[in-house]
Amino acid sequence: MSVAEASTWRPHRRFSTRFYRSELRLMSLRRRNIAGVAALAALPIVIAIVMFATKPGPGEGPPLFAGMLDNGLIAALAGLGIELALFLPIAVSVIAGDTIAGEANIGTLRYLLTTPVGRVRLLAVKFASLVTWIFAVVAIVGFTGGLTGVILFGTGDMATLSGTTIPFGEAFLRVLEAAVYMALCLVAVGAIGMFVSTLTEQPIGGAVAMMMFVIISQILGAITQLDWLHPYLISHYWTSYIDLLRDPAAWDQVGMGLLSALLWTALGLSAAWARLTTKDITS
Amino acid sequence: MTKTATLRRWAVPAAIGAAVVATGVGATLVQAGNGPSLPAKTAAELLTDVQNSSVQGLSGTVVTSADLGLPALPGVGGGGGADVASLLGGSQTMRIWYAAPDKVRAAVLGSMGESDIIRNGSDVWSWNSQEQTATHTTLDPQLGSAPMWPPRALAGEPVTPQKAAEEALAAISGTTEVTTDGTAEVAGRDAYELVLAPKDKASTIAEVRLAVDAETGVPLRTRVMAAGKSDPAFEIAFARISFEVPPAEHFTFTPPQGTKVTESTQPKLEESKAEDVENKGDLKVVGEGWTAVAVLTNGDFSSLLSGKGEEWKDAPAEAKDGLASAQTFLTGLPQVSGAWGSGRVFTSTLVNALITDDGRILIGAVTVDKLVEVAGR
Repeated sequence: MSVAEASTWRPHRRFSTRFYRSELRLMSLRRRNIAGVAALAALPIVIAIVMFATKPGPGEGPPLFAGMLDNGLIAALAGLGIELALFLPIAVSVIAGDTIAGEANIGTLRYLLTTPVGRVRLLAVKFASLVTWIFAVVAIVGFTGGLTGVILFGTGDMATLSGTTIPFGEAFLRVLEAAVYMALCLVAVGAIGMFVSTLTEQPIGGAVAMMMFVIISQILGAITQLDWLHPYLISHYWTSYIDLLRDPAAWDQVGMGLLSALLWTALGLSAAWARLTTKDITS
Repeated sequence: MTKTATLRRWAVPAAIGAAVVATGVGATLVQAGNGPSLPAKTAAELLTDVQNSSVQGLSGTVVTSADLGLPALPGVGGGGGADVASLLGGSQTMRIWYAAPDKVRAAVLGSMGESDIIRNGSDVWSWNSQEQTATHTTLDPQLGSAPMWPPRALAGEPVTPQKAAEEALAAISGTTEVTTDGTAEVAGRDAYELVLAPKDKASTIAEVRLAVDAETGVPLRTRVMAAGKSDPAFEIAFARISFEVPPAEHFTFTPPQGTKVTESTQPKLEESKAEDVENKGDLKVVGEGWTAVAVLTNGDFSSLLSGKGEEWKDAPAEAKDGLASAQTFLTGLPQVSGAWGSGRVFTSTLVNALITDDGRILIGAVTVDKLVEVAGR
């Protein structure tokens, strides 16, 4: 399909990352966003300290955390894993909900588009900065958790779920892979959230709608009678990162999860594009 | 912007959504297609293939799914655990590795854990990641050299595979209809379908379908079909299989730090369970083949039903709670009666049980009518 711009006039200009950099700066320097990231980063630190203080014996602590006592890197995954259930999707929903609706709400969307910036370019830049932000947040949470864990528990061999041990270097690679996987799952939430954001002029409305979508998806995923529906749910494969902690790593479910994330992202982006390029921009 | 142009743009997300639904993104890991065209084979030839199957090694992912129609029992299945009991309900994924008869590993995957059984020579390790426990068993040297797979080696080496297949066919042909039924694709491989159907219509099993790999003769999928149901009551199938010999490191196990290791010298077979049965009462089997019915007598179930049994006296509070819920469960079952007395029936897709008021328990993969008939004998 050919992409017809809303305006037929096209400026001639060189490729520039200025708009992207400006978006990223706005997104990361907003005080509310900094506070949110700080709260997200604090949780894995708290978990690692609690584990260090209580030192649960074998089979007593939460399942994944037991391995933390030998290798602190698990603290990064334990933190990310817990936040992936709710906190991270909520954070992504809020940021994604703000992308288009936030501009519309304060009346800057039309000015952006008269700069002149094409609507497709606007979407592309908003999405690119959203993806960057997601990866940065996952990296920050993982880094603070991992660092605290390593300081408290050291860098011994990591016990896999299969009962074997892998050296620190390979363990680091596994944790990195799992973190990238989680980030890609969150990108799918961001893409759908961006579409929701094009539907409204209230960023908080978009964010709440997206949070409800994620929570409903999780609730439906917990009802075993609906197992035929589960593979279609956005959250279905999120916990599959655990398969990377087996020995050898099991890629079946992770591969399905990546495919699922790709399709949800494509759905969200194409719907956002269809909506934004056809709607009347009045604010 | 015209209306058609708008509609055309919305067609893109709509098409993506439709494509997702149509292809059913991983609706199931087991991608089973309809049969490829393979040269026709008779049932005897297929059985020969199965007997003959000798692979140097294999690894793969196995998915089991059970729809046994069992009531949800508290504490059975569910959760993120990777217990073997979780095989009884719902769907479960396993990974298996096989490099030699005495180098075998199976891992039951739970959503937050894993349990493994690893055999390497005469060492057998079992591992549970949730409890962080491991059990080490040293097999008897004689047993240590006996292979676990393929199963034919346990029953003694057959004279020739063809002869063995014919004998096997003859042995079961009295009770079983053995036929082939076209082909199937399992785990991306071409397979023949071998169908075993009980001749006795009192069986709750309509047929057992085996998909046999056309190239190697390894059974890739087994389906147990219940009478009157179109979906399998139980299925175990490879979702992915590779016939490369897995590397040796997959069969070595050293319990990680902080693991509770139990040493056990006796191979833990099902002996303990058999003892339990004998302690509780006499076990008698009525009939044979598909429609055999196990009859347990001298059971204390009547006292359990009435709530006056010995179990109630010295039992701790927790056990009393358990007995109370068992009693509620039993008294909620439908009642049947005949000249022999009366009892309650427990029904599921494959297995039915009759608990008579005079303390007998009849269990079998047979219809309730058959159970009632056996009870009257």
